[in-house]
Amino acid sequence: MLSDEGWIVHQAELLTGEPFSGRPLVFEDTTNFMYIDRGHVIDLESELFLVRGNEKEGQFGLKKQPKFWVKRAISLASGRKYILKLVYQEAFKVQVGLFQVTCVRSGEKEAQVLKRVRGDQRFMQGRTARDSHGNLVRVIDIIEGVDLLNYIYSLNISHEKYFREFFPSILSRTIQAFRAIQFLKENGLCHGDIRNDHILIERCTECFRWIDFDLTEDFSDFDLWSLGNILHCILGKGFVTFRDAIQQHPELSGRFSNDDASVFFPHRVMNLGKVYPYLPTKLNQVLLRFSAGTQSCYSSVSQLVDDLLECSAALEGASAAG
Amino acid sequence: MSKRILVVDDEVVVLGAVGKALQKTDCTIDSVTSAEEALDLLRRTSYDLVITDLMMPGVDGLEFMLRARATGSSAQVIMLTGYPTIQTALKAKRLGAFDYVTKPFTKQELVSVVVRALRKGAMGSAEAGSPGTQKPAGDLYFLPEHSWARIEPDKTVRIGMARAFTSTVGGVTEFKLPKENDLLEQGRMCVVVRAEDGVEHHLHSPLSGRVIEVNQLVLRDPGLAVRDPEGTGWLLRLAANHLDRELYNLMLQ
Repeated sequence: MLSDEGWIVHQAELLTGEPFSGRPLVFEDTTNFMYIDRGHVIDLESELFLVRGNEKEGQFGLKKQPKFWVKRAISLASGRKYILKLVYQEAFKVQVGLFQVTCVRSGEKEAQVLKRVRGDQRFMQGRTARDSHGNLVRVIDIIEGVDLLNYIYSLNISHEKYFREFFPSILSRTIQAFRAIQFLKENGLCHGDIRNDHILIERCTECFRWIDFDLTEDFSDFDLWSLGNILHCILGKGFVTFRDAIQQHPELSGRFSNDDASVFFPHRVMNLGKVYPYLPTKLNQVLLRFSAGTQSCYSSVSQLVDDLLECSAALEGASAAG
Repeated sequence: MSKRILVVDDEVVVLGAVGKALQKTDCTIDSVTSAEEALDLLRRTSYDLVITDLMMPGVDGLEFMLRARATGSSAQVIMLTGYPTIQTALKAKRLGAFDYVTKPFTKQELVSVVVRALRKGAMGSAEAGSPGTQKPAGDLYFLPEHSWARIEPDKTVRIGMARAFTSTVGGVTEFKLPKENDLLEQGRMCVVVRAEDGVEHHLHSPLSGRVIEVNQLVLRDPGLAVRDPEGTGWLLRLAANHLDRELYNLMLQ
């Protein structure tokens, strides 16, 4: 049946509602992923996938440039849609604030994480399959939803209203997401690419779900410090720079010090308590542990989670009392 | 005059590798296997640069930095480590380390950082501004210690070398620039800078985008990027991909 071109064409037309032109081109080896394009078929362990295009930002949290190794595809047998992440190994150095970080992209590493988090809805789900050349392809389930960053930016309300009405729920779900990172750490794994657009808010459950695990950095606490950026974003209702803060609150001019800045991004204000005085002191103190002036860094995600749980309980208490 | 470098690492193999990598730099290199020996040398000898391992038995690299300052040494410090963490990198920077280099490193990486550290040490605390250079209108957004970006009225972005980078590189003899239509990613290496001393340095891009113009003036006269780094010495013009989002990762001057 698998060699039956007629079946492929029939299924492709049935599932896409579009006419299939020409003879199907089936790739059993995905090494040269640049040549695999929309309308081609990938054969993974005898399951055929019709490629619909290259993945882009906004649909999967990846950057806007097409990622040629990440394909949107439909299983011709089941009709289910997937993301196929083909093997693209790379190592590169990137400047993050004052630090130069070496990153390695590895399909094997992502496969390890997928295996460990199977059934855990805090993470994207998927399986692996090898092509005829032995490349480890990740077959990822689609998550319908919006990424955290875009969600926060879509809220067209004041910071204070956001903080009082939306933040408690966002914090509570963020804590669950941070616990998920703690779980990886406890299992000798890491996320490796913690960014605000790598948390998807699933449309049907509103749960936060991590995506994209194929990177690893040489800094062993990179995940932990990256969580500080997430916290900054959800507490600041987006990124707050010194310039933004002073533009919105001219009275703050001259009141900032270098210690108030983020370790990773020295132009971002970590000391958000100066910008938004209604933020609880304890919550601001947590954020300050990711600031350039911190004298007390977190040494584990669990410490961070414990502190945030305290903050969350206090917010709920205040809300109930109010 | 030849510069003097002190290298401290409890692994003899690393001392050998560092010495070999720096062979052609015309520096005098002393190597020791413990912080105690290094402190002893620092009390008796003046060094321009200290390269120290972070994880050493007894006194670690951070403690060593503190004690080294107490000897009165004003040498620049480069911290090496095979176990990098943001926490220790932050501490090292706070203690005044010029850079924090992770093992394994290439010869090019080490030589580049050593040359830049020595040059910074030679400058002292003086700013490396070039008098008389022009600064066109428009905000400059910086990838710290590397590059700048300026948004043009047509929404394209010019990028160039930050003064903090040019001042430690010295004279430039050649740029290896990307070609038109090449894609750059924020934070990743985008330009190879060949200095007068033959050392190659890597400049990282402040923004992601497609290269739409290369400054031909700089290709013909690389010194322009040092004399007027924020003006006529710009390097590339980009059609940026994620300007709104990525500007938040840069420092506004």
